[in-house]
Amino acid sequence: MSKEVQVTTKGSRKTLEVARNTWKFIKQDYEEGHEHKRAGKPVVWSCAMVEKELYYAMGLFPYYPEQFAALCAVQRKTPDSEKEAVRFARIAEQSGYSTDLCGYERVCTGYVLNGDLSDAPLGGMAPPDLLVTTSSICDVRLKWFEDMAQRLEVPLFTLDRPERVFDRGIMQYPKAHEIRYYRSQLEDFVNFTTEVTGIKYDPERMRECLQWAHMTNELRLEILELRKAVPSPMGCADGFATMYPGMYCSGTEKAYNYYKALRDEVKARIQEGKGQIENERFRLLWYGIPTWFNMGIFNYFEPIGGVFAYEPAYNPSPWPPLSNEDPLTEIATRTLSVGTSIGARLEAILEQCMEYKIAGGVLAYLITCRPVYLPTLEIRRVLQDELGIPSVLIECDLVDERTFSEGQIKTRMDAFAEQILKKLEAGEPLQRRAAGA
Amino acid sequence: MMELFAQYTEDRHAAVRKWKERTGKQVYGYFCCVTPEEILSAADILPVRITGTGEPLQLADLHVPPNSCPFARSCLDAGMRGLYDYLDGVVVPNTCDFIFSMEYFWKTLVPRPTKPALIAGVDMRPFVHYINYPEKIVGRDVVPFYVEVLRGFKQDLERSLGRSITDEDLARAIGVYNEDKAQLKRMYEMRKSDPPALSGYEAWQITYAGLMMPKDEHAAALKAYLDDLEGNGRRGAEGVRIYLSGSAMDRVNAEIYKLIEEYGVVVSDDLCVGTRSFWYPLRPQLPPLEAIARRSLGTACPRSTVTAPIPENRWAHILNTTKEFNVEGAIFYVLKCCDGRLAEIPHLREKLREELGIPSLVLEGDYTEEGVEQMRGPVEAFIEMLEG
Repeated sequence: MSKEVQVTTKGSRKTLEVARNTWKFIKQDYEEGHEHKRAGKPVVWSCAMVEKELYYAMGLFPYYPEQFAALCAVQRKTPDSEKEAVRFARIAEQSGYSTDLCGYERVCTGYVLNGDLSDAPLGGMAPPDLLVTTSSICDVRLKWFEDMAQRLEVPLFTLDRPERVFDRGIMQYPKAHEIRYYRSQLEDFVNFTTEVTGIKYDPERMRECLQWAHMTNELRLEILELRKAVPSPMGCADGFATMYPGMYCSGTEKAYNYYKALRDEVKARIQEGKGQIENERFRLLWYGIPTWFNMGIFNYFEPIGGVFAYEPAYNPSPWPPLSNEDPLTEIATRTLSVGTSIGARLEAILEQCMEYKIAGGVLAYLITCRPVYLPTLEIRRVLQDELGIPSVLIECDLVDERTFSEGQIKTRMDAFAEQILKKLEAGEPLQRRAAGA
Repeated sequence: MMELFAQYTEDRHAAVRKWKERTGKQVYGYFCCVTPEEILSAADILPVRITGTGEPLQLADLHVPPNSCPFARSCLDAGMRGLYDYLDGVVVPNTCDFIFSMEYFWKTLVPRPTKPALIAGVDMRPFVHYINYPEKIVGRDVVPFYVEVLRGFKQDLERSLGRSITDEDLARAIGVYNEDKAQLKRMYEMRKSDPPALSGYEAWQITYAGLMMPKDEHAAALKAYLDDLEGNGRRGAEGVRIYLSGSAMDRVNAEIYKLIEEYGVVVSDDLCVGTRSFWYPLRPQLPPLEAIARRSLGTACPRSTVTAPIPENRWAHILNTTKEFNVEGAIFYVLKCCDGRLAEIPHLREKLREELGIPSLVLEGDYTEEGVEQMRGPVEAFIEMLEG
């Protein structure tokens, strides 16, 4: 690897013990998947937005190519070689995949094209028996999984989620035809899985997984509530580090136990009055998916008293309470209750900035992730107009560190911090209350 | 007759304004060819497709990131500048990520002609209509779901207009749209000959005008034009036969036709201002909303998929639109950040080469005329290579 492309990226310093130990959880999970495969049981590669209980209820072990790409962003084959994400992205680009395409997609496509699926961090993802994706949020996941199905010759199922738009708020009870349609998708998924693997659907098992998922979700919501405390007991580095069990193992007892421990640790810190740092002076929002190859960015403002207190990505929404309805209807209703329009997302971010007492926003302008970057300038505008909060844009890919201009980004972040420090020095409020709030 | 169609290439806004002044009827803008235009037409509204200008952005770049789709940004900029101030409504289907976001951007940033008519918090006269278009176009329950979506859209229109849109209105619109599709198909049939009866650019101009003209006028004018072409036995220029696949082909992007046809001739395409907008007719024997839903779902948009273990719906459309056209080479002209297209191209290129023996060239455009000109070298070299 030539010196000029070497970027001085690094991992983050985390506050919480549970967060520091998540790596063990992930390693163990990958190993369990390989065990599962060796035992002749089916493996699914899935996009991150699918409801995970479906897999655990159907006896499938799930791997998530998006998460795998993030893993590749922090791992090198040897200490001197480039990051695995860059190695795989190059393979895809050499085969005609545009550099404008999502970093996750390029990394995983390169990994598939490389031929040997075990030639990757943690032995790679165990070879899939089926692929599952959803239409939700982004187009690329659908096209990317289609492309993988064609290349791997592995059957694909797509869950088509109606994309709902509301005038106000991010949650509304879905309409009957929407629930009917999405439920039929879930039922088709179940039938498809039975056809490919021979495993039959057991509603009781599904209900059990739903129960774990709901209890886990409640814990995660409780943690989000706890994170509003001043000083901030758990920041974005911890938030991103601890999302894996909730995002990818929801519906299991191990995920529930993980968040129970995390909730207890956060609670204990609040009781002790311990924040992420000694002297918290201002709190920041991180918008978007993190720059996985450079998580150290989350500690950047700590020397001047700045902490990242909240990140909207990967956090759960409140779910309708569990009922004794048919589990597939329950899942459909829950999923469709959340709207995804930009207007609803902006409204939610404004509320969160007030709740978490945010003084500034670091907006990850991820150049290959359209659903993340499209609202970025509007977020900056409404934060400034409604709350008087400054923002800074961090421009790069999610996993491909070749796009990261460290010097330029640090200069921007320093100028951004200056704006907040000036307010502090002048004794001005760090946030102006929104009209009507 | 070409002059009639060319008006829309010259100044589409002036042509539509003139029509509106003459008829006093409403005009709605829409994004993407999946839009159920037939419902608008049944309501006596003229649907016109929204396109950009290719000019430097004046307003939209404060709101939309610079690396996002240059076509969609230009559309928004045109709206914000008031170039579309004659629109009485706008229809946004959930197609690609950016078009989906137009539901917010257009509603928030583009001035609307009338104030919202709020009753109990509901706008009785919505300016922006969102269509929850499924991403899966074939599959169990897709059609009943989408029919319900279209029923909701129809009701919104009825509320705005203060009158109902009957099945008879819809059936009449379906008849008109089918006649136009039949004439467009006939035009493509005439491009199968060697040399083709008309150039790719002419065919594009005619198809493009059809996105703004009332479909009955377009179908009648096209019929007369094709009758005349058949009558005088005219043939277009000879050249290497090219299949063109790409992003939204409006006036700016269509410069690529002119460039390619300096060296060869475009005979067929995989374009939303092209085959995807008319190839598959409506089925009048079905209940009207279902016929419209099935037509809309059948547009083979690169963003869509089907229920199949290995989905190949996009390849199926390419097979349909290359068959008998004697295609010698394919050019993919794709705008930057058009992820749906960029993601599928490596696979489709392989299939074209391996299954049809058709080599291809990929060009990534930036939605400027200058950007097209910079493609002269690769286009010339590619066609020279095909000529052997």
